[in-house]
Amino acid sequence: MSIVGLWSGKNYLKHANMGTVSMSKPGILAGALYTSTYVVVHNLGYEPLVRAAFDGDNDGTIYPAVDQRGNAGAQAAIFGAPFGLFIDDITTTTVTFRAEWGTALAGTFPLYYRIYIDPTL
Amino acid sequence: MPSYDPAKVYYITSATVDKILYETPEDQPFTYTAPAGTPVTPTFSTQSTPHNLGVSVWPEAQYSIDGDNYYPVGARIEGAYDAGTMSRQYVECYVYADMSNVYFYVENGNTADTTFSVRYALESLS
Repeated sequence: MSIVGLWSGKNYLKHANMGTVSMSKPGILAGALYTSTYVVVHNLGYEPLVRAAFDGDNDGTIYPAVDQRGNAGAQAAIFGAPFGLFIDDITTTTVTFRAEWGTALAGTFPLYYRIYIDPTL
Repeated sequence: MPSYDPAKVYYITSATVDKILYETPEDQPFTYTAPAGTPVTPTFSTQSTPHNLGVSVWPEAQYSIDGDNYYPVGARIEGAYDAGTMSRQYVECYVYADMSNVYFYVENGNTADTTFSVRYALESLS
């Protein structure tokens, strides 16, 4: 992502922190589901707007992190999402991303995230 | 190119921002009519449209079933109560994309055919 230097009458959402990280696929049993988490420390002092997306199968197919997942079986095959991933918790210092699935998965996948500067500050 | 207006306040930013590679025109959403289902036996449909950008992209979208009120993908829109199944009718819509296409996963738990309108943006991953 290149630095933007511009004059603008519009208030662009600006990144406080952004990047691509390698996150583990859900493989730890937590209750009834297998899960994995990734924590980003931002230390902004407020709870920021956060967006994320991921490439669960490492095949270039990108899913927004809205926990989209079908049921097991036919729906999952139609659905396409390899597992569910969502923004689990946002605090004044950290953001936690969580992946969940009904069976244990091995390996890692790229997680893309954006943490925004509060435009009101 | 917009002209400089001395009555406005401009600012310079040195931060990074989201880079949108494509955005549907406001009056040209992707539309698809999903066949009727029921709240307990919804229909599932996956539709796609090419983006021809040649790179993996981060899709973001909002969808509507009345052409007026738009909701973010991932949100379930609930409707009228269906006495036959003793459940509320509903719809869900999700989006994902690869290097060539944008895909729309539509789940119709309404007892009538439902037309989905999806407005989406494709964002650079880097």
